[in-house]
Amino acid sequence: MRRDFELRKRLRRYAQSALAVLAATALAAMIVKLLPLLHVSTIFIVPVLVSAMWWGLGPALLAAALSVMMGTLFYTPRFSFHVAETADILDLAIFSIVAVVISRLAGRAREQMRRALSGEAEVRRLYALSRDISSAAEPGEIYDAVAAHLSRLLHRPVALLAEENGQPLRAVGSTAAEDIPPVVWEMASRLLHSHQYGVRPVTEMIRQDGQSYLVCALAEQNQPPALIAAVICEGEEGPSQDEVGETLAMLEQGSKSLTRLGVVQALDERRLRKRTDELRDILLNSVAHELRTPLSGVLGAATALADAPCIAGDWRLSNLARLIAEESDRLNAVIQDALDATRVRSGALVPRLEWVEISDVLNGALERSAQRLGRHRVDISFMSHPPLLRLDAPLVEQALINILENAAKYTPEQSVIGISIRHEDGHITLQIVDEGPGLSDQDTERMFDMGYRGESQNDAVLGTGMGLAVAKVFIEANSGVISAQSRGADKGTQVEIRLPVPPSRIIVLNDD
Amino acid sequence: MTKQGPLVLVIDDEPQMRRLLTAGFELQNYRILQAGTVKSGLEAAILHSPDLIILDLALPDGDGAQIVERFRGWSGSGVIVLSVIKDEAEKVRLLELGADDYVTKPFSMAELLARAKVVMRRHARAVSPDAVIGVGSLKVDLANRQVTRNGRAVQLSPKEFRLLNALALNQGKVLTHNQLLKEVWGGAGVEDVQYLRILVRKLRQKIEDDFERPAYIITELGVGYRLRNLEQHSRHDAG
Repeated sequence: MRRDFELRKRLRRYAQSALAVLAATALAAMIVKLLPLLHVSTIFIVPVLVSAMWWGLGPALLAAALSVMMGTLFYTPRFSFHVAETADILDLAIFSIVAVVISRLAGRAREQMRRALSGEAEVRRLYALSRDISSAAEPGEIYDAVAAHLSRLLHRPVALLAEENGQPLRAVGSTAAEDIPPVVWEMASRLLHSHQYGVRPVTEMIRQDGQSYLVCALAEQNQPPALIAAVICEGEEGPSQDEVGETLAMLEQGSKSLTRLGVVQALDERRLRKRTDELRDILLNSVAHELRTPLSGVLGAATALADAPCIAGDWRLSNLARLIAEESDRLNAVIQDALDATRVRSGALVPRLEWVEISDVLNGALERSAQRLGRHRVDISFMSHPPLLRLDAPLVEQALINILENAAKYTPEQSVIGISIRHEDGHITLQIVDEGPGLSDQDTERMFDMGYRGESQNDAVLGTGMGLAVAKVFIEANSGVISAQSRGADKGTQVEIRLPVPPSRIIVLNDD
Repeated sequence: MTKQGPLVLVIDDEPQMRRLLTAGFELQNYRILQAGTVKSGLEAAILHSPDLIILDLALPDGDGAQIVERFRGWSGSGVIVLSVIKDEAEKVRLLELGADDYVTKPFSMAELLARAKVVMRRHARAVSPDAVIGVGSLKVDLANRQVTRNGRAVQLSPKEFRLLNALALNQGKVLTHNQLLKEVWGGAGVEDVQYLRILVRKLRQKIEDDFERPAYIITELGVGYRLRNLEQHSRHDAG
């Protein structure tokens, strides 16, 4: 269709040239009648010039040839086509040179003009696009604006494909995905995953079932293309070279805006998170300070009293002083639980990993909970030469303390709390076994939930229901897994912690 | 209260805390000075050269850590820092600034007194490099570089000895990972705690009776190590 149109346009130009020569011949004939001139041939320069300027080289050459032929009509014998004279050959040569030179010049001027005009139009279109997407607050608006401008430019339906938030490649914005055949999807995902992003614009024509599809993508250095345009063309004809260039420019503008939007969102989030962190820290610190400072007074004073000679000498008084100390110690543990739970809930838990001996962590936990484990027998079986682990030791220590104290709380005095450490299939497994009432099915399921307290449990037992939930989060923050089983009522509980053993490195101490 | 008792400067902005510390220390025959700000604390410290400073970090006119920094190196005063925040990184920072110990509130008076005694003794007579340090069945003869356990000689590698030497010279005080790495490897740029862990494991196997439950080289999780001083209570003894 387009080709027919081009051919007809070219034929019309040749016809116009011929007509111009005819007109010049008529004019020459009239002039010769009025003024007998020797060189009518100069008149024929006019149709050659006109053809060269407006219709191009071919029509101009035709005009030159026709002019020479017509010119011979005016020589003796008049009106007899006779091209033998030297003058005629000279005319033909001059006309041809004029035709070539002028058509070249005119062609170049026309091309420049066309470029200037189309460049201006392109700038105007890009500006319109950038105006539309500059106010976009979310990616969807950018997709829609780019798609609308592209289909207006290309006069064809355009689908935009993108990978969004880690989701697989899909049609974005309001573009329809159903018109896109699988080959185009394959091509697009190959562009995304080819890992040759340094290769800048990619344009590919895909022809299938009498339809063709132009796939355009523009990749930043080392980055996959943010947007891929699939242009749906009817028939074999794709967009012109200029249109493809402009399509790429629009894609670039779209993907730049997407980047900016991402950056803006990330910045906002970071600012908000920082503010939240600050507020939480202020709150945490003030809670810690306001509750713990008076508690320090109570605990300090009670322990000072217990050791004062006149009180230490009377067992009833020293018992009372010790009771105050123990209870304030317990209250402090509850405050610690609450603070830990706040950290867990706020998601502020960033483990500081370092190489540690698991036995050091366990010993630390045992030492710090020694007082609350004082009425139980603790039976430990270490494995020899456990590997070093990479942990946030204070977090794991606190988790172990919570588990040990939970075991002590719910089991009878003088019962055994057994602890064992094993190394198997890339993990260190810590088992804490008690001889308590065991777990119901509901307990097993929910005992690590925040605020859960077993129904069967003694109501007199003080607790916040946060200890085990905190332990779970602390263990998981260290890439560990915690679980609990029971062999049934009154058969005890077994808590198991699995911590990953990092790939071993050969350490040469270079000693001796 | 005798005039001859050691002088303790309490710098804390909470009057209740000052009352508690004053009573607790006076009961054990210490003399007490009190200050509520960084400024008055520094003045009192310079004027009276106390044997020990008990320092709360949160002071109305600034960070108590300034005082630790000012006293680093030139003063005979030991410094024990009190904080309500249990934060290992903060502990490391203060120890490396020059604090002798770090106690988290709430604390038991007996524990604080025990720690105070250790700090003051270390400051009163710094361990001379030719001393013989004893802890339990372990004896470390620093001058002759000899270590014995239950009277039997223990063979240590040079790095193991350097580690034990550093801990013995600061017996009772926590040395941070960085400080120990520097002591043992010098400026060799070893920054990996993994090396230290392995060296400590090897040393414990040689000098501890039960190296899985060490009694001499005590781990302070997230902070460092210290050599136990037998006068020092373990935490649960004090409660």
